[in-house]
Amino acid sequence: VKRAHWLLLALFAMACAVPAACPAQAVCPWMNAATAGGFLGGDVDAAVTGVTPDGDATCDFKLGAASGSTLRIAVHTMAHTQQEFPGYLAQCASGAVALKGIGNEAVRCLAGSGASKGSELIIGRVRERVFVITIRAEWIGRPPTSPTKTRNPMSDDSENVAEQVAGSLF
Amino acid sequence: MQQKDHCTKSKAERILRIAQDSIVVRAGYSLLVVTLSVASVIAFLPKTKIQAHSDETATQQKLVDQDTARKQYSEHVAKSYNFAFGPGNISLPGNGAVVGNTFLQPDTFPTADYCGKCHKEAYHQWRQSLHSNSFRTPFYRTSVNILMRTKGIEFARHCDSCHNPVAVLGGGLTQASVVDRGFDQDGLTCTTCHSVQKVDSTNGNGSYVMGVPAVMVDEKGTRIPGMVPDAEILAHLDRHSKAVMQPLYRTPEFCSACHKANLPNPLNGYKFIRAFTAYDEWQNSKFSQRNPLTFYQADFTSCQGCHMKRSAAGLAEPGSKNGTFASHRWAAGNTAVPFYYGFDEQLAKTIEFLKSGNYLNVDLFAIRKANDDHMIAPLGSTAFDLKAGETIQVMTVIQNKNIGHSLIPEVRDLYEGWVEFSATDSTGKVIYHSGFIKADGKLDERAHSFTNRPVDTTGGFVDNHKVWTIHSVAYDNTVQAGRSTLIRYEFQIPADAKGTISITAKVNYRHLRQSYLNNIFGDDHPAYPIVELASRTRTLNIGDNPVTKPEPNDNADWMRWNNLGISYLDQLQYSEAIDAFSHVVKLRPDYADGYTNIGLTNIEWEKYESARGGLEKALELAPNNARALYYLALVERRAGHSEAEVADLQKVIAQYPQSRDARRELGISYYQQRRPQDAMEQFEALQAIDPDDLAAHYNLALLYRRMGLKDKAKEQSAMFVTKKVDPGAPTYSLDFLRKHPEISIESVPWHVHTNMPHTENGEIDTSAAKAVAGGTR
Repeated sequence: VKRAHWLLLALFAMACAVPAACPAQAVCPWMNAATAGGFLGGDVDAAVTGVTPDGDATCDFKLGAASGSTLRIAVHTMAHTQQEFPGYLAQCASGAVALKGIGNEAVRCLAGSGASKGSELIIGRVRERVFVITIRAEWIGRPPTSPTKTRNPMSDDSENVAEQVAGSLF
Repeated sequence: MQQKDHCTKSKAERILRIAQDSIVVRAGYSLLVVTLSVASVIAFLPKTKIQAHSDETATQQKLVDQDTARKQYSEHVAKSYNFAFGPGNISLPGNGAVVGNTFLQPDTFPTADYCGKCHKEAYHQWRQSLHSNSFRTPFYRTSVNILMRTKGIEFARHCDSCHNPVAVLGGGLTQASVVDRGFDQDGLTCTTCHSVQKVDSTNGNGSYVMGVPAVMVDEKGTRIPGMVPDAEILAHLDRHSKAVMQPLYRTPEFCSACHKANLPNPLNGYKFIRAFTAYDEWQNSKFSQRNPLTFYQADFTSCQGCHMKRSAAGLAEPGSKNGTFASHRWAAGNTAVPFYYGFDEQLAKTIEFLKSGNYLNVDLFAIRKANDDHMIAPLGSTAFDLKAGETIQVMTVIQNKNIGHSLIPEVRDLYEGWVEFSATDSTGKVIYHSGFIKADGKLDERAHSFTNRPVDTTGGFVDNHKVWTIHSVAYDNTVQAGRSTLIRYEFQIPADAKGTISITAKVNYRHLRQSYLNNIFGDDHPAYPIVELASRTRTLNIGDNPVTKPEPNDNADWMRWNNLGISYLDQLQYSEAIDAFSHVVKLRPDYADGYTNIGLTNIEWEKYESARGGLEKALELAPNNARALYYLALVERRAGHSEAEVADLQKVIAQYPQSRDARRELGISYYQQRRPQDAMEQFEALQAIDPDDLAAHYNLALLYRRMGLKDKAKEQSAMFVTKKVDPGAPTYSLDFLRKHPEISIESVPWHVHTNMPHTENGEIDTSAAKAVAGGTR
């Protein structure tokens, strides 16, 4: 009985410790899973990693395994904006399109190298915080479906995602 | 016999058979005829009768489907929703409400893209407007994000009841939201405004009642939820119109749902504070024709009359009537949003709007020389001389002439409207400059600006529109509709000045103040537009100045004096006000309001008997003049002439049933006459016009209690307590003013802008001396 008592206490202590061991942040600060799912076209798995005391983090949203469509939102705080921001922009292959009305500044492009090569990128900043949005989806590059879009007609939905992220960073 | 019997029988049988056959045939024939007749009747019945049944069935089915889907959605959202402000309450601290009072799926709102397929011009205008960008802009997000981060997202329901109703009613404003926010970029989409079924009150904070969006009604007028095929709309345009248009949308009360805001206790944990009241300002203006006490009169003009002016549609627009379409740009003062998004057309239209309409009048009215009480006025109509080396005070009157609300309205802690005054000599050298933009883009701290300074409990300025921390307002230099303000600029003409001195006063506007733009973007943002709303320049000769011709936009001299009088009145300078109004009646002896103004000033000065003469003279000229009657009633009250007082006020209300002032005063009169029922009626009518009136709350609390209506009395009493000014709040303002001498001067109704060092006990005020250096270029 005494041993069982200790066992119970140990189990209780473990149960208490479990939440503390879990990632500090389970919810993406800049976009919820429902919105990411709405963008990618179905229910998504969400993961938040690399959370820093500054509130920087990376959110990964993944549509069902069969589709392969993913959305990644990475936010970093720059110590020296003027010097560091061009480095982020360098992830673009040529042909980056400047986006009006997203953060302080933003561009849309296709990733030029690395694992995300060919993915759609939107890179921008709000003050000293840079956001890099990586979209991998089979519909990238298709023309917009809506006839009434007035801004950059290349990828309005992606811009909407970027706007959500930048809006949360203001 | 048998044979005969047989024959008879056979014959009878035959006859019977024939008869039977005949009956069958006839019956058959008849049946056929009837069938064919019925068929032919049915065939020629109007088709709608048949369709009615199927329509009704289809509508019922859609309603059932929508209800079922909504119930499921609502239950799903409710599981994780933070009902912080009471079970079942989805929008507090905002006032947004929805038919059915449960969460409404965001996708029940047909998208703007859907509407834009046919309404191309409306879509084009709306996309660039403030309404479509009501949520997503950095200018809004910066403030609301602070609220979410510091107090919690649930508090943002207060702001988003107007800025993002789809999110609030959809249950998106909660921790761990399960709502897809893809709709955010459309802000107030077409079907938010066009689904509002009624305005619950004129309390604001989103006091609308949203219906389940519908773009069609069935033939019985039942709203059919959701989208329908285009062909169906095109086949029944009248039913489309019934679903999306209501007479309510054309009323100012519709706008009041959001263009009026308060800070309720659940938001600030303090007390009710009225934030802004564009609707009330309009109602008190001459354009509403509901207020007998305005200084000037005008034709009725609603909010939509100015902000939704009709013009030719450039694109296809089925909503056009006679070739014109009511603007869905809602052009007003916001240049920041179109500038940020690159909506050049909207920016141009906004600037055009701000400069049009003869909204403001700038009058370089008079000059006063140092150590001389004589006022040279009105400039242009009076000859005078000027000498080099003289110190002069230029008395500038800014009239809010044709704006239906205050200058500047609403969020005046973020907006920046100010007077830029300059004096230059004949070589172009600036002698004096006030209201300039500094190198860092910020406005000269000593500018006369039409802004305010809300403060918190530390006496600090409430930056970033953190309205939930506001406890007091240190100053508010707004100019209400129809009123004027006098601004004094003092400077010394250089001793060596020759030729002419040019003086210019401009009213400038920037959306938004530089320090807020810096908070949003950091310091490295482009310069946001500054728009000159109105200006006036006069050239003064060193030497003799003859009378000159007025410019086309100049007011007539009687009106210039009148505006000066109004300014003096608002600056509590009663003797000077009476002098100015006396000039008015001298120039316009037929102008009843001139005499009323003298009476009104005497009342403000508490010289009630002196007021009588002016008011009676006004009534002699205009026997039923409501404005004069109203003020005379106040004089009669003071004199103890209760019956005359009531009679005058009744006449005012007969002409202006929505006059809040007359209702309030008549309520008080009845109360004093011990006529509780009559008093109650007046205060209830007043409350229907202005739900915040303190006198109504206070008196109704007393009256209801006496009538035994304890619950209603308690309710009124509670509202009085929360709405009345916290007597401790002004101390926060004093803290702020002590720390900010430049604003402290602005908070005094009567003040002078100068580059002359102030002296006190013979010592030079160093802060003023600094201003000399910074203020003169």
